[in-house]
Amino acid sequence: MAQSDAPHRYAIRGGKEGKKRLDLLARVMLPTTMQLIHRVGLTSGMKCLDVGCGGGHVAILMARIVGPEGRVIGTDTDAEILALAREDAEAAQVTNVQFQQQDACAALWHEEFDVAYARFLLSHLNEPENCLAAMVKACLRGGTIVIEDIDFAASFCYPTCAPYERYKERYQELVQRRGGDPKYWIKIASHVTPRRYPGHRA
Amino acid sequence: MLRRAGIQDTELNVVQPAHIHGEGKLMAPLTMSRISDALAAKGLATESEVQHTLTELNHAAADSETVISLPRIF
Repeated sequence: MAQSDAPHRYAIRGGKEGKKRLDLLARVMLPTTMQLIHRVGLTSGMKCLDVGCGGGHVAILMARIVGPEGRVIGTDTDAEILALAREDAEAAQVTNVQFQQQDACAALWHEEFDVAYARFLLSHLNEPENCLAAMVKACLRGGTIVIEDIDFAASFCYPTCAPYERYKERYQELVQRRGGDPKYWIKIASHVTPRRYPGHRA
Repeated sequence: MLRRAGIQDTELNVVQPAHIHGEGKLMAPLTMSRISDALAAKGLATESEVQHTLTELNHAAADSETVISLPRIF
């Protein structure tokens, strides 16, 4: 698929306004993001792919960890948000990260990365299998696929608040109407059998 | 699906950040704001419904007695 033909897959507004939301999300998520990166075993010199990188927060974080001997590529279909991510990387003087406008399902790389990562992306896609296949193809054999996704229905407000429940319902309806699945990851998880093989890990 | 994709060694972790104060409580109203156009385009909510929901979500976020979570994250 040509870059300019890439569908707008994300139900949430992008651009500058979207970037402000992602800035907040990145700050709120930082403790758990750091825990995840620690579990993955990201180290100096690794090559990483961040698919659907949005504002580039995790890509920049990974680039700091892999250092000058490593490199990170972040991809997204939103050119405006990628430009803002580049500005952030430049301001942070992180030079080993590149941002490219690409569709998440475009299988451009073949066994090039130690880690392929996607946060809050697959549940928005109507063909998440294609994205997953592209991530697997991009990874070196024995590399790591890292997927973070959400069970939106499990969000809560206490005490219970009717407008909050309405917000949850509307978000899920919207994602479904656009071809995504707001409960995508829990469905995958329910089909995972905990067996170990050589090869890729997730 | 993971195995069909060639992933053979899987781990699963679950987290769910929740907030009683701080900017994490603003994720819900901010997200609602950023999906408002798409909701209208799909006929899922009118502008007045969106505005009412946004106002109430901001009130809930400002209430120090209220806990608001992010989605459960896998």
